[in-house]
Amino acid sequence: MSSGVDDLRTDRFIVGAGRLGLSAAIVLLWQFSPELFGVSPFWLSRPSMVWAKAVQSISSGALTRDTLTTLTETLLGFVLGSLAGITIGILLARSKFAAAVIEPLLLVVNAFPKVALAPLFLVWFGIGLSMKVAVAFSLVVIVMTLTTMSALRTVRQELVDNAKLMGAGSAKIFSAIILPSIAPWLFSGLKVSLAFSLIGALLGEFIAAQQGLGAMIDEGLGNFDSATVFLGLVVLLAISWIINSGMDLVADRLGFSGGPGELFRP
Amino acid sequence: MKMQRSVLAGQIALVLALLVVWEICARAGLSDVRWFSSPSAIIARFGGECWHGSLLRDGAITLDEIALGFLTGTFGGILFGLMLGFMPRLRRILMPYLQAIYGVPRPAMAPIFVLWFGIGIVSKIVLIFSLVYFILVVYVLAGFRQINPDLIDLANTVGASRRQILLKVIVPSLLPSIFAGMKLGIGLAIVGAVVGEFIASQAGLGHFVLQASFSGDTVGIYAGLTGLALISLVLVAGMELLDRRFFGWQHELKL
Repeated sequence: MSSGVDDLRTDRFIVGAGRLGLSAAIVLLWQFSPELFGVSPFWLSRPSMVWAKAVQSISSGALTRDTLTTLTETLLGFVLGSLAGITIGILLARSKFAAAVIEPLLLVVNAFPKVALAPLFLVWFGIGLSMKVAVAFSLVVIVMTLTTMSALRTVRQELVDNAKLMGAGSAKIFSAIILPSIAPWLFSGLKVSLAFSLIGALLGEFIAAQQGLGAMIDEGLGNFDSATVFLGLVVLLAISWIINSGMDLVADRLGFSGGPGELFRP
Repeated sequence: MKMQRSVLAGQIALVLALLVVWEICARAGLSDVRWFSSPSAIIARFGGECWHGSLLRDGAITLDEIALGFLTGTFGGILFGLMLGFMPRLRRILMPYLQAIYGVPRPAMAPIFVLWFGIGIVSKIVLIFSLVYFILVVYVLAGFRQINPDLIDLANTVGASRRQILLKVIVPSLLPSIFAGMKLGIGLAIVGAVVGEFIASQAGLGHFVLQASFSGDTVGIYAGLTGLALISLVLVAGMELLDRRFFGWQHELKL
């Protein structure tokens, strides 16, 4: 019995130490990659160089401005795209025939790499903020339309019928039955959408922009300045990590799980 | 059956109606052709670019990138997934890292690959590889969780060798999730090719579309997008058909 517990402890210790060791090793190997492997910092940069670049970029205000720009585009695309997608999804689901006709077509659209629309939006909206919002919007609206339609299909019709029999109005039915059953699905769609929105904003910036993290990375790439490229990517990873764990935390609190997340691609 | 037929008719009618309205608006001057072009102009341009222009060559290059990145990524991902599946302790050490990498907005990592591997086809292949690889690893591991332990016990009881257990129990149990991963992977492979070409490239459909955009050539953008739409339709529909052919029974079971 006690040896079983000991085994479990040893096992946990090995796994924990392995994880910690791997993290430390990655940072150290990255920092000393020029000395150890003869890789020029030109390719990989170094944590210390990225840090120096971060300090410089924060004190000049550029990093803050770029981060805020990208966040603004992401949030605008996310909010507008989700509102439009949920509305379209609810409207389409009102007619069985319309839903049956349009849903497969939307799945075909979903198969198309929508990020490829970015150059078209560049011609339509110019180089500014609205073009990035349009890219983010185009990714989000499809996800939310399809998610809303499949979420509404999971609502149990007999519950709605029963509520009607007992004299509930349509507002009551929506708030008491429909909303609680579609909320977990919608939320999982929103999580995917927020991540997609960030990707959309960033790709829009890659193509043409004057500010934003994508513009910063693109400029670093153009100058072969790998520290700037890595700084941009590290900030981006931090943002996406915060977004993801934030959404997971909220989902946990509300007791949501499941959903169609994996079906989608940018 | 009747419902299915009218749905199909509705779909064809809807697509045709959209095209006709698009064309009429362009002809009647209701929409600005400099922005929205028109179906007839796009088809004419698409045909012209195929015969005289670089569109076919660009399409072939994009397909090359997708094929090479997808195949290497699929093989690599399956091998690594199998390795982790058979080494639980290593899997638990690496799992948080795998999940972290899996959660990264990976298309956004494209600039690194351009920095490392240049503006040619290699950077796109590596980018697509990285997209597909991790999906396959995650899906193979998900497949391992679905193996029915009773089947392995049973095989052991009737005296099956380790090789037989691998080939007759484990591999068949993994195939459906591997295929699900490949279906997701092919879509991301197309995204990867386009994004990689947008960042920096000399050829490919993404390059074609971006160049058209920079010179304000809207019809050119639409022609390039048409090529991209055809490629993604063929690839995604192809995977879907394969899935129905080999794993159709699984989807029926779920219903």
